[in-house]
Amino acid sequence: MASSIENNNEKLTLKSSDGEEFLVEKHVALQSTLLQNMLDSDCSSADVIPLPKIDARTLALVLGYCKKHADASSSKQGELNSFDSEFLKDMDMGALFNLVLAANFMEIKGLLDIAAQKIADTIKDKPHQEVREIFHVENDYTPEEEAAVREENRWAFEGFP
Amino acid sequence: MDGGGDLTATSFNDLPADVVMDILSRLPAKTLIRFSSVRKSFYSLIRTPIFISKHLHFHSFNTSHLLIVPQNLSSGNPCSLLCDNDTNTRQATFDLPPKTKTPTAEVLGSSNGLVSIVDRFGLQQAVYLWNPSICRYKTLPPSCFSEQLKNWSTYAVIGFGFCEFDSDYKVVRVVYRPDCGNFMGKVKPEVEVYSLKKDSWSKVAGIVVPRVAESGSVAFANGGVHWLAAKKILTAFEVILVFDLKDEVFRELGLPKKLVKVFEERAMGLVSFHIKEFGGSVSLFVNCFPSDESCSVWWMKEYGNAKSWTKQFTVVLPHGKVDRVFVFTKSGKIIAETYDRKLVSYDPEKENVQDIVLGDGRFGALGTFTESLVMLERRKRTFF
Repeated sequence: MASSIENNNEKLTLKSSDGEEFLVEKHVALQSTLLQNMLDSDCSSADVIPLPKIDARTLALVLGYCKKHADASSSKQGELNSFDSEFLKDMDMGALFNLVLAANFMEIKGLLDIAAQKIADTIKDKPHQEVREIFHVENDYTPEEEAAVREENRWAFEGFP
Repeated sequence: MDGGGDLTATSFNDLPADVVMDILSRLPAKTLIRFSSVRKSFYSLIRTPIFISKHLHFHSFNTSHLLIVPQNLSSGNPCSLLCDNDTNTRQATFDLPPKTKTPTAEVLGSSNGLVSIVDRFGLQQAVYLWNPSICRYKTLPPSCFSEQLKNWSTYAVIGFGFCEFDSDYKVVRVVYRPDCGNFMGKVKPEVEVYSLKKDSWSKVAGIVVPRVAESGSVAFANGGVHWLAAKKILTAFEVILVFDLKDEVFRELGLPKKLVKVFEERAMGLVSFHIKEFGGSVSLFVNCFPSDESCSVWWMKEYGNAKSWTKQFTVVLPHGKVDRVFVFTKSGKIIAETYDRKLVSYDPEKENVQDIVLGDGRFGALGTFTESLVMLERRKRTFF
């Protein structure tokens, strides 16, 4: 019992791809299933855990989310929900993409969920031409193909350009 | 951790496939159809069985809708999709498939995004599967028993549901020929099952089962199709006949003793009943005429255990008696039609009644509904 309390105060260091180090409390890091598995299998005896795929800017955001969720008691769901929406509020699509990638890689289910939902909500009511711009994807249809696909689904375009 | 570069993305194309699916599966079906035009990979992805099933899974857990259908499908009135919440606001309307707009067609039920429509009294005995979310429907192939069905004294009952085990939509048709058994007893009907995956009917070895009334109410619950059935006299229901869509066999469930007595004592016209799915089991709505002013609701608390039938509550409305009960919503409310033709939502816990105003016309079948892309993969473009 005593050891688990001690563990709560344990800290570990995470290192981003661009070399920045973050000192985090263990219970905050445990929000990530990836880190949890690493700590369980004891392959983290090193002082510093490198996260060579995640840059400092994204990692800072991820850890901010983890800290809030690790510290909040389960009875404060409403507070967490408003934190979540505030957290993502002004984030641009590039930052959301990086966040969703990091959450996916570090296996943080809650964060993956809200970031994916935010991306979906952003494009939901947009015309498909605008979605290409928001997502930075090319239109690979020929004009004939595009017309044919649109014709096939004409009913779904009501009210859209 | 191979150090193969940062996980950074500037384009949606840089995201891994499972993340792409996670994001897109959250969108409504109609939006996804429209986004087929974004680029070719969007078009193909939303038509793959794995995406369709992920999308269905997300929406059956996270969204809840009610589908309201006009009583007369030939009336020209559309179906309405309502939010299953306190406001019951209308989210969309769907026009019925043209072929099904006949006075003899009726909606059988909805399961996992598909609606089944049957034209039992039409000459073709046609069955349709319709996905309103993507404006697509298909006509099922002719019955194995088409010849028998042409005989006016033959009748058939039909049930529909989604079989989790096979991830398949199935329709069961039970055909009672005039020579299949004594009118007053158990009978041996002809049985066939349609599978959407196989897109064909196959015969199931018939066994002697209690008889289901032609116009009886049908419910899909706990993996099976349920009808009230009679062992002796057609009007006196004694059991629930279940057709299990996984094992494709019949089973029987006992009814509450008190109700069996009610069915025995009263002629058919004086008791109206509806069998409905609720909480993974079956429930019965019973209306007795003319004495009772209320409609009683029974629930088989523990599926399969006849001793667990309990009378849950009676529906008491301040205005007008309940004529027909349509559905138990996920939140435990009842959507019903009163004798003065009002559609109401009744909350049995709070004993609170709310009118649902949808315009003209009477309403027929109604059910909880999940939007889906099921049946979209059936048409493929050649240029990909």
